[in-house]
Amino acid sequence: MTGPQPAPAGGKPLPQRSTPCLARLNALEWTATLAVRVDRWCVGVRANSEEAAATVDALFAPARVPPLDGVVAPNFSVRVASAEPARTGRRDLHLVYRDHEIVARRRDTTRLLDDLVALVEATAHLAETEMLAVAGAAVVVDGAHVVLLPEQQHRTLLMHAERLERLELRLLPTRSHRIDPTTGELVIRRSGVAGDETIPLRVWFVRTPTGQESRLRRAQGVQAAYPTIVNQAALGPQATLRMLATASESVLFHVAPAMSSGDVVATVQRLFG
Amino acid sequence: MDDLTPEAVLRRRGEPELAWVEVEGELVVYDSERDALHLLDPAGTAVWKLLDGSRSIRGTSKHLAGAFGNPVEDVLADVLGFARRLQDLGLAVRLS
Repeated sequence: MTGPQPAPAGGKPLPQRSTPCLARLNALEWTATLAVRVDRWCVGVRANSEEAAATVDALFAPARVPPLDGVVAPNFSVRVASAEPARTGRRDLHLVYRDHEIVARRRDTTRLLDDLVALVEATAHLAETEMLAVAGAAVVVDGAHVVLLPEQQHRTLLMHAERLERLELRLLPTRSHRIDPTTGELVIRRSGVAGDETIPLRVWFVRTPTGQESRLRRAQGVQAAYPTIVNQAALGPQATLRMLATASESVLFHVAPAMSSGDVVATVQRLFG
Repeated sequence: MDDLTPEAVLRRRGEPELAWVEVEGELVVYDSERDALHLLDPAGTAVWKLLDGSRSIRGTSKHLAGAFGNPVEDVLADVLGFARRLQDLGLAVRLS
């Protein structure tokens, strides 16, 4: 019998849950799975062509762990579409999957790679101890405020990202976000730029058993938001609650109703458009 | 479960099983053993704070009645009901 093993030098492999959807994705053609060190984790990023793999390799160069290439699970999958138009006459979208789920879709590969960096970096949020790390779909309104919606609505909003941008509403690519507990601001890492961007969190939609769209008292909001904190294990419950209470002092909590994709956009537009 | 009397003494459970924070007079309590979140309204929060094992439910009621200027018997019924609920939820334990 052996005791607990120390994390390997390349980081602890990020686990992946096996699902039928993932098996279908695995059945597609993939060129390589590259290992990337993110905080204490080793994350796998696979690509569907030699060119895409080389781009991913260069993108994460300082954090690459080549000895673990092909050993780590493919936590992220990058599918760069063919330059040739599809049978429909339109060019396919470039995609990033987290496990089996599409988490980024773009026509522009540069923007897709920006999304990929943000998504991979968000993995480190699990071990964050200075800030709250919260799962959700964050929409920046006029560059001045953030509306946070349930994580499940990120996929819906992603399909409307270009429509949102025309309304000056910017959907952040990641589905977990750091919140400074002392200011209640979302702290957004800017790729290629020194320093973080901070934007106040103004409205937070949370799920409750009743599901009606209505304002919540702040204590109700803290209660409903608690399960969305992804770094609870790193913080401990007492610190998590204390940080949530402080961070939400200027936040309006609303119940998130079950909404269609159009409703989500309309609701955000109604609140801030 | 034995029924509570006004002479019973309860003590709220504390860390590490419970974590809590007060938000605008209401208490959000997380029970890590049951992975359950509870919300106590302002009246419940006031009772919760007094359940420190040093006084009976009647004593707690007298304290609150004095603070809010209400008849003790009226307050006692509410505190007794709330104490039973806390005990059922595992948020307080009976000492005597």
